[in-house]
Amino acid sequence: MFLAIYRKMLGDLSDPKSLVAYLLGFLGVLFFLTLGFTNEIPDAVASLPLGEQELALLEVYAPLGWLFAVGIGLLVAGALFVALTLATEAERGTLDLVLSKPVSRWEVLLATFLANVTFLVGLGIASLLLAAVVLYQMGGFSTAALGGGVFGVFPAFFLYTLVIAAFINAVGMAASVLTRNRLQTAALTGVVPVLFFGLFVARVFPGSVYENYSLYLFDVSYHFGNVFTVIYEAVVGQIPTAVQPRFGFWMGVYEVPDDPSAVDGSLELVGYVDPIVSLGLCLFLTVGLLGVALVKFQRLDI
Amino acid sequence: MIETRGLTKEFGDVTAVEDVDLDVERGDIHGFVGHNGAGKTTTMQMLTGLVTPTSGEVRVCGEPAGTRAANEKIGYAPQNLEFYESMTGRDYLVYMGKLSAVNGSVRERADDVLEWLDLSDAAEQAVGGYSGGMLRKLAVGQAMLGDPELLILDEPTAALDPEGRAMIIDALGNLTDEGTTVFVSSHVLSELEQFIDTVTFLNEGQIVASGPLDEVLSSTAAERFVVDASDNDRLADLLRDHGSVAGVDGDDEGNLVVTTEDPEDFAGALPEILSGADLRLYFVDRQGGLEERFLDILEEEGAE
Repeated sequence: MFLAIYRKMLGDLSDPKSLVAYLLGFLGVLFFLTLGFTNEIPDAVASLPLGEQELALLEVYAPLGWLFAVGIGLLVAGALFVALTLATEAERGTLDLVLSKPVSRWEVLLATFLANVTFLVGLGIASLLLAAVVLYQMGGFSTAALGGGVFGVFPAFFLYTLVIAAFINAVGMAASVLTRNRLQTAALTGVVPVLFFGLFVARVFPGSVYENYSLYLFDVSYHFGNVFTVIYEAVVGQIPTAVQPRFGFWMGVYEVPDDPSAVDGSLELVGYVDPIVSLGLCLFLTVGLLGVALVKFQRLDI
Repeated sequence: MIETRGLTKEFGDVTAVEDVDLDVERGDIHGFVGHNGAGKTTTMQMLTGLVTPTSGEVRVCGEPAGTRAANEKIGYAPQNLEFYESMTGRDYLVYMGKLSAVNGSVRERADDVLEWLDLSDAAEQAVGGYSGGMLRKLAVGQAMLGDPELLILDEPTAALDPEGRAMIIDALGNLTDEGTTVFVSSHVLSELEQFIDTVTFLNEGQIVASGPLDEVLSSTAAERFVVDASDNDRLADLLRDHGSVAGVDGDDEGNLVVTTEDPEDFAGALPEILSGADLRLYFVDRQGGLEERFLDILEEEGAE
């Protein structure tokens, strides 16, 4: 029964019309983002030694993947697609019949959650590969550079995608159960990407508001940057010093001096919050919100 | 098969169901009658575990309502017809069959049900293109997938044509022969009384009458017949002299409304009275059925 619900929900998410509409918009954004990032690629990069090419590729691929594949791909798509499953069933009334069958409510919720996570991880991986292909085509790297610049960091991206997909879907499940309404579920889940991109802008632009008002506590992009850093270092190893300024600018993880090349060794962590705390917070919220959804769903009058 | 004690459901300040005690025996077809908003659907939803009672106890098939063990033994067809519109009829039944603990091949069972519902030709058609009658059949069909011990059907013949209604009613009769219990609500009381064994009347969330159909109907103080003949004035005089007739009035359309405490005697005597006076009968309508009984009870409740 669990598998039947899982497959059914995965089928609902894989509606071809929604996917095509999403991907068309997605490709446009990818193209413009990649154009921006290619400005950072050295001229005649293919003529550089392989190690330098890999670093140059990683310098652009890591933030592009983080921002595009996971930031836009998972968070924005997650908010939209998560509303297509449980909230839609509850709103339309089809959930009545499912719950009148000999199936536990926790099975329905967890099967839906896992289907959503599977779908988003698939979407995230597809987006990461798409970003790699476009970057490779537009950047002029040699094929061999893909090994260290893309595939070497892929396990970290995969794990990161999994953690973020679980997080955004836990938010979505809680919103679905609390509202039982598609639009409200999408709107509530959409708070995550709004905080991600809104506070990303507040952080990147100069000014003291971000620190004075402790906005970093709510800066989803900063916390997710920390999460990615922890996972990267656990799975791949130390983040290369040449790449750290990129992590600093985009994810807010490192203090970036005016001249990063003058720094001997690793950059210092910004340290608003210890990266491991961000990961713990993310996992805690995922489990907590899923728990709230489960408890509420058990008692819900359909 | 169904046992509730003090079953109550409140939604905020509104009490939808209040202190309902129900007993339905195995193999019965039990009619559940009430106006819109009387609490029928809420009660049915509590039997299936979709709604949690505010207080009271509910057991179905010997199990607490809403548990997996209880839901394995019941089939439920709700009043609202909401399906996955992009699924075909067969895919829908296969999916619901997988959730219904069907023994053996789910696909074969789905095809059997489609054939029985006369929907085989539409098996590959998207449910979104089904007519209201087809959807109603599909709702009843998905409830039957798991060969349930108890069928809970909320308005199962609504939107069906006469042929479809007859098919569903016949099927319900056959199921009870096999020991299945049916708990059914319907607005068409004249239809309901043709096949139910026991009945419960619900008004404003409370039971106002319950028991075997014969007993509930026989508790009527008097039955009415509406009669129209070739000379109603003369017929009225003749009827007033007959021992079984308690009173004769006229209605707005000029028909006679005859009240009798012995409807069988009156029904037997009427043809003789008519032929003895050489009168022609245009129509006669016996009004002592479920609908009139229900309205009488509501009237009595209102008077109190």
